[in-house]
Amino acid sequence: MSLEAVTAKKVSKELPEWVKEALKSAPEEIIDVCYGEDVKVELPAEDTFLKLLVKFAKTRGDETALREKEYGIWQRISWRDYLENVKSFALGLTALGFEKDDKITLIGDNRPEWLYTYLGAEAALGIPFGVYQDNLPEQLLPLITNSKSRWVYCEDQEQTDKILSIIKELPELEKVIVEDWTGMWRYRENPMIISFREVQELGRKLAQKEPNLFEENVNRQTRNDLACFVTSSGTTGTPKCVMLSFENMMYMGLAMQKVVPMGPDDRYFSFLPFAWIGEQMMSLSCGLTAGFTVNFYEEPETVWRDFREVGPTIMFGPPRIWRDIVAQIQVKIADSGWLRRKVFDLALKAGYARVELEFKGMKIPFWLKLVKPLCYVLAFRSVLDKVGLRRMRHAYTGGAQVSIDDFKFLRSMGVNIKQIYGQSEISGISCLHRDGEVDPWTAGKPLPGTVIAITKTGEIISKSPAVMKGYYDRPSSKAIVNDWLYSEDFGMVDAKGHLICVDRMADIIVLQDGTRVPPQHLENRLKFSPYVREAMVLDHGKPYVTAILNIHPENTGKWAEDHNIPYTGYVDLSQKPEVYDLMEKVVKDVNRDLPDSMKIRKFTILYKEFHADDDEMTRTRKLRRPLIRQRYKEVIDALYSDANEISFLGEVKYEDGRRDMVRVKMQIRKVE
Amino acid sequence: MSVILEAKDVHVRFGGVIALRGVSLDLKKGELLALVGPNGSGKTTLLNCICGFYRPQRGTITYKGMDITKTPVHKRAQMGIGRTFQTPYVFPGTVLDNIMAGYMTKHGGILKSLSFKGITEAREYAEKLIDFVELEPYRTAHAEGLAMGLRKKVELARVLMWDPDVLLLDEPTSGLSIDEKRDMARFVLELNEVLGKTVLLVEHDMSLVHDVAHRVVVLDTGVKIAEGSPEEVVKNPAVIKAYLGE
Repeated sequence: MSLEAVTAKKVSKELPEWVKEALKSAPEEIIDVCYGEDVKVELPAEDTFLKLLVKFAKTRGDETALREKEYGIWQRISWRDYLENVKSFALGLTALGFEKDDKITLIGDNRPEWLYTYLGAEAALGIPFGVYQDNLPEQLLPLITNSKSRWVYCEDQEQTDKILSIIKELPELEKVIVEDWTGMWRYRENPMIISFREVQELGRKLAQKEPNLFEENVNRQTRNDLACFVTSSGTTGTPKCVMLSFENMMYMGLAMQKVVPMGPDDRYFSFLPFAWIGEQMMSLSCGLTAGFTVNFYEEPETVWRDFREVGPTIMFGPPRIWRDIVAQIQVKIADSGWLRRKVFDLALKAGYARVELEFKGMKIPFWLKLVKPLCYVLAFRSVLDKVGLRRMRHAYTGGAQVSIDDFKFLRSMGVNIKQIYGQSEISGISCLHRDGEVDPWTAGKPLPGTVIAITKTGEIISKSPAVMKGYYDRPSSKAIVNDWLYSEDFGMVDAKGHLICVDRMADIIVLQDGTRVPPQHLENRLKFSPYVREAMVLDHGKPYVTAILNIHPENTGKWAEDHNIPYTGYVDLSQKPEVYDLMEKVVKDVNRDLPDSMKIRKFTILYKEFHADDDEMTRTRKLRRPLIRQRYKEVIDALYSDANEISFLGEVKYEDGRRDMVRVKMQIRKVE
Repeated sequence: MSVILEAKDVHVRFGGVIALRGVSLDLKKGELLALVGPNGSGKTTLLNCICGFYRPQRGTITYKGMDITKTPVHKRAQMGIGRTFQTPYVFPGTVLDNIMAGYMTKHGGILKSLSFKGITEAREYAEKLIDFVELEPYRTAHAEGLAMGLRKKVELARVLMWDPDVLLLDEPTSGLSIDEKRDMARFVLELNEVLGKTVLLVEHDMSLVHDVAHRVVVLDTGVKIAEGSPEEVVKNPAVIKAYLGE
């Protein structure tokens, strides 16, 4: 986003009636507003996920609802089987003593069984709560206790072991339901553990005794019932349990489809963690309202191959996934022959020229229009096919700031990638780019029926039928006032009526002279360098800006090898003087375009990467700034002293749970 | 437990080198027996005698009550003896080819294996084994180019294609990383405990032997020097002497 826009003068707007109406309830003075189309979004008569599923099982029983690759073959699951699986699992839960409003925590990779459990819990009148599968046991504990879950669904032995290691602290727990029993034959005697199939077996028995129970339960539910808990992003601590109703989720899905039409012929590939609202939004909110096929990979290692086999038509992924795809393309191009590389580069140049004009909203000259299909056929089509993007109609990125370079690259190749803005608290997304109005600096316009306003302090607040019912574990939270959701995001509206989300409110750095610096803006510029994996810019109330950097181990490692710099591991590599020189260049490049007060004056390279296992990041790779500031206080203090280096005793946690202390000397590099 | 495989008084000599002198060993049905010993103590030689690569100069091998001392290797495999090697043997071709080749051993020769029905059956069974040893990402990769840990998995899956009753595993964890070792240990345990296979395990990693084996036999310079539970064996003075010297 451009800094000029931060101070851009506000355009007075003629607001439509319905927006004025919505603004009447605004809890405080607002300085700007943006809104979506005035289109009525009506929920269908089937106003819960399960009613929709029952409908599809009746009307399209034999068509494919889900597809999973197993034993090397795509196995299809029809809508009828989908319903049957959900039904038997739901009744099985009831047979086990699952009561109304019971909560079940779901931990696992993307599998159809995850959806069966999720929808089954809803059909048993309970509430599913998906959490990230790479959470450590001590990170799972507060999530399970805060959501008051009495049931846990685990995908496999790994997840089961995590639960068993904290089971003493979970006295309320009824049963742990395990799907994949590979390597778990010794767990059979444990009375707490039951297999997914056994639960379904119990359900089938109950179905014979009470054949109408499932339908009765499904029909008892309405749009106002809670559909699920979703974790909040958790940048400030343990993620909270966001309560979403069926209306919230379905409204969001339907409103999105007003902008992005989706239908039964679309293909969707589910591979991002289900705990992420974005994935639930696509697989459930959109999947069940539009009725498209959801595909699942075979193993996490085969994701990209399976992705290509499916050839999805719609996709929503965080920036790191797009980064992966761009890297895949770049590697493939670099490996190809001279002629192909030349053709590709030329085509990309034409693409860049077109995209730049598009972003500025200018008219595209005739010759560029003419060249586009030619470039596609000659250069891009086969490349896009190799990475599985050839059939992509609508690709979305969100959840964090996308790298502008990646964004331009993909658009130049003809991938229709667009940005969104959203959060768990608003059932997924609230703003998105419309076709023909793509601008990498903004997140687009709000969804139909959604109004977004900016308060005097610059906070983004939104009003929409998709706004959550509250936090389950924090009933006193002040996140919703008069139906307006406070996002804690700092943002503004540009002249086109697009929302620009700058950063988290709490993260905006205020320097001693009063300059407000959005750290993400600087950090993303630093991260454009392939050698920087992560960066944190500092700090409140200090005279100048400094940064803590994480090097990118593969790329910097490659660079070191190319320059004959030997190293042993990450710690060693990160502290090489040559690497500091390299980083100094990166920082200087970033500084060049910045006003004096925002220039990064000093930096250091951390001996380790910020990692979610150390609580330094959320599972979606957002920095937990307060914790980092506290943990690396000595380092930060050194950055604001005259020291040239800092000796720091840091803890390292290995993947197998071992901990170790290391003493490292880190340089403090001054940037002139 | 009945004895499924027995080696009695086995002698093997290569020219002037005496590799085994009068070793006897019995393998009970459903047992996980570990065969340990310092380098050159004759572990692999004994395995080769059992699977038929070597013919002992003296002594007999009995399998399920039949004397198989003179039975050729492929016949022994058909009878239900499978083995893997310390350095896995894979042939040029994909992982799938390698695993499916195992189908021929049990299911009656080349003709059936090349028929449509045979190939379908083999593929189906191979996929189950690929799932078991977790080789999904490498199905169509060339087996020879794979890392040691993966080639060991390919070899194990190929042996399992003919569903042998007795598995002779020659150092299945040598050259593997810690993670791969754990996986392999899990496979061995699952084969033994869940699928009821009788396993003869040659292994150097004593902590692994201690964790999984029911019984341990120790060889040194071609002679059996100890036999018993893992706890007993590690305390045995003869064993300590063999491993650590005087």
